[in-house]
Amino acid sequence: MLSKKYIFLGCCISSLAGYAQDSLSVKNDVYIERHAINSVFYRETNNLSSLKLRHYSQNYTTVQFGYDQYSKKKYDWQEGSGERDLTFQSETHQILNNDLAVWGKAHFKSKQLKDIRFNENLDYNQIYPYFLADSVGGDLQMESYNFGGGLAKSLDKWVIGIEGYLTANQGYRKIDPRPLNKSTTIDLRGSVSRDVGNDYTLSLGIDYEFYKQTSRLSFVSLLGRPLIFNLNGPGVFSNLLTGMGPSGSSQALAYYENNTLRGTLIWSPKKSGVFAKGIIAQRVGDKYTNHSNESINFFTDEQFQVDLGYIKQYDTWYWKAMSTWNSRRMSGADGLFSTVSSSASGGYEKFADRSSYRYFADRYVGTLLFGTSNIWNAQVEVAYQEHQEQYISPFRNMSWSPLDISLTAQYFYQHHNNRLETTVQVAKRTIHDANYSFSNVNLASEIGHLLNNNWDYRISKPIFAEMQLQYLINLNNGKMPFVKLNAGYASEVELSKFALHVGLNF
Amino acid sequence: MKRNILSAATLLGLALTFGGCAKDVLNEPTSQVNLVFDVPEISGTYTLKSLNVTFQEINSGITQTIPVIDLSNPSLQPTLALGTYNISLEGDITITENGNTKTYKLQGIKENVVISSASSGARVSLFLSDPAANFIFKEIFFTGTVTPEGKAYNGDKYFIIYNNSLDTLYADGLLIAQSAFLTTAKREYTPDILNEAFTSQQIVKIPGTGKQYPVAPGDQIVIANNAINHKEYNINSADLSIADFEIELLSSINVDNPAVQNTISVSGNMTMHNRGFQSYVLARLPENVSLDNWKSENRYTYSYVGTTGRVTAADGYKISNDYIVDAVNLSVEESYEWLVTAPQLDMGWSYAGRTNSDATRYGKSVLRKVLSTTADGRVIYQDTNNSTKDFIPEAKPTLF
Repeated sequence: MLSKKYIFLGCCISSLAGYAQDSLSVKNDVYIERHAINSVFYRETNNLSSLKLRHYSQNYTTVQFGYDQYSKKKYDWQEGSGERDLTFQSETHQILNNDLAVWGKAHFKSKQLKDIRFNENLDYNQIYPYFLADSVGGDLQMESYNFGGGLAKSLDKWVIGIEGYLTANQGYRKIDPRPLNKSTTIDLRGSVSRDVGNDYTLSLGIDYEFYKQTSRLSFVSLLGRPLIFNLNGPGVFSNLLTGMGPSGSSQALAYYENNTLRGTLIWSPKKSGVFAKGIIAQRVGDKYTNHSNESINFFTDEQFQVDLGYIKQYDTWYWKAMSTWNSRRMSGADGLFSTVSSSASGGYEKFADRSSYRYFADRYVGTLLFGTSNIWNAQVEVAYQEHQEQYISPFRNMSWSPLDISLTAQYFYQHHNNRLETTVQVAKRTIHDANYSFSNVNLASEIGHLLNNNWDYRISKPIFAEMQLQYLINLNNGKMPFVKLNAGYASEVELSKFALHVGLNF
Repeated sequence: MKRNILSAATLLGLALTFGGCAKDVLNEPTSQVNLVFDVPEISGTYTLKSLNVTFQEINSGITQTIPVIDLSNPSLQPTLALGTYNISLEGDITITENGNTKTYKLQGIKENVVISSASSGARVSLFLSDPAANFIFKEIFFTGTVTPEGKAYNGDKYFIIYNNSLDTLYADGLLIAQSAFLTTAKREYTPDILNEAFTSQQIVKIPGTGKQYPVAPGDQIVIANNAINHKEYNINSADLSIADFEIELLSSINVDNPAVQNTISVSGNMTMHNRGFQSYVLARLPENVSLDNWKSENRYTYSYVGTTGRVTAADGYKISNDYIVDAVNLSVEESYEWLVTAPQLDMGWSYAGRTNSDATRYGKSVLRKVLSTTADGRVIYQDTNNSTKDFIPEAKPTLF
């Protein structure tokens, strides 16, 4: 989980490097505006489109190429042991007439996902735990395309924002088992903000996300085919739906469709004051296979989040304190099937749904940021989480409570006309109250190994350290090339990560 | 999609109710099932051993087993999780009747039983089966018929061999042998090998490479003397052109149907005794024993002392009792003297005439009794190794 977060942060930081202004001081200001961790924190907490009018004070455009890789020796089999990515990213944010901001982006990634087992799909977080799976797995080649943009328009005391994004992924493997997965995500967001007095803004946003994935698993070799599982829980699968599908099928098919609605309410200070935010979201999903015309699984995933904080800004100094409570409740159901002779129904007929899966998670986070944003920043974060995951038949229960403490420090060094950014982060995880019970599972089987392995990974207690160096060259012609180097390591899971990005801001 | 539209409507309500953040408990929905067994009619007394009902839920693969201790109240009321079940019952039942005791399998299965409500019911038909089941003689028609003119007609005799097991068996290589000895003439044969082997001079073999002639459980094959439509010559006879095999008879009475595969003559020419004085066995040589080797190693010369004191010697083949899969002794009540098989092969005999040269025997066969019928309609025939009990004597031939 830590590595994902920092990869995400790294991508954000690297992709937000650049602007198109004339003077060095303005360029440096905008550069810091893009990269300072307190600015990133601001944009993450004020993430509605109607608030993006305030995200940047200057225009910027950036184009960059990058190579990223990470690998772990202890890992979740269904997520894989690592990635190697080649990326191209282009982004722009333009402020027009001080009352209109437009932005857009185009990203392309070519990925190689390593050593994935019991998951022949894409987008782990979208479809967990209902994977189409086999015990062999392997590396997965993937291409990802992401486009989108939006605008925010000020109308007196009101700001209206809209934005939309399209993500298309394709994943495949050219040796048996041969998955061919295609997924599409459409994300539409609308929001409105209104000034309340001179110091505060109240914002309301509604998001809708549509996600679908089609997975096709086939084999060229007729011999040595592994069993194909439709997992419907942590290591649990439907015996009836095991295999390729109806008699005569040469391919296993799975089709996923998720829909997410999210409402966000933000009370935010323009400079200093109390910050409050509430998020409520519901995601529902269905899974279909070629065994039946009816869904074999569906789930409901509800999230509720409250942020409360205080922000204080001086001339160049600031401090921010934020507390977050995020609560998540996920429930899943399995279809119960009986065999039917009609091939029109796919071979099986659903007669009932059985509520069978539960996931509860509560996350409590305290964050403190302080510093002088154009020279140095520091962030201390403490996050305590409680997780519980259950499956009813055969009954199994897992509960674990990680405590993460992280410290991030950032320093901007002026080198002639150029700028060197150094960011260092250290984090430590401890685990409290880790309990599990797996009943009626042959722990000597591959499914048993999967459960044990993934459980061991979940309760690992790594120490993580990461450093990022970014050097920005001012060419004095409005163009600013940059190079960014990132390296990190985590103990116990033996995570090692490396990234090199080069790009141009203008 | 419909659920997502509903999501929008419930979002506000969710906001109001989510504050409780209750963790709902997973409860497995269950059903009270009334399971009733249809028990076959059992003659005699019986005892049960290891009789269990197994419920396999086919979605989860979870299996649970409940013992059955009594068939007098043939029902159970288990509590099961909702699902689709394959319900099976299996155990041993030892039946004692008229002093004879034999152990059978008592079985029953019902597949794809959907349990989807708080109370539900299912019914499972039970049947008996012999765990040692194999090929058996289902019917032996050895008497022949008479024409409308009253003349004896011999070419329409036949055997029906039936797969009484639960597995597909292959007829390739099966031996059908007629006893050299008569059940109506007991002799002190020397050397006496009755408890080791069956003596025969007339043996035929079903051809095949080993898996050329599969017989599914509940299927049968017909081995006719002459596999022709005998109705063309004798209205009282049967159409045996539907036979699977025909026996090559003595040339004087053989009528070949080229469309029907001939059996292989191993020894002599099979001439079925039309009064039923001889017995029959089905046998199969072990895979590693060739027919030629077996013949060379199992030549049997025997002799007996006649009532006049004269010693008579003869030759035949001895078929080890270990190779015999079924045996049927035949005789007539008036003349019966002994069983020409070891009693462990057959401890009784059947008949198609009560007296020697009974004129009413024509057009009658010996037909094995039905023991039970499975849920899918497969007939299981009685095979207690006692032809007296296992066969219906003087039965109407099934091919007529």
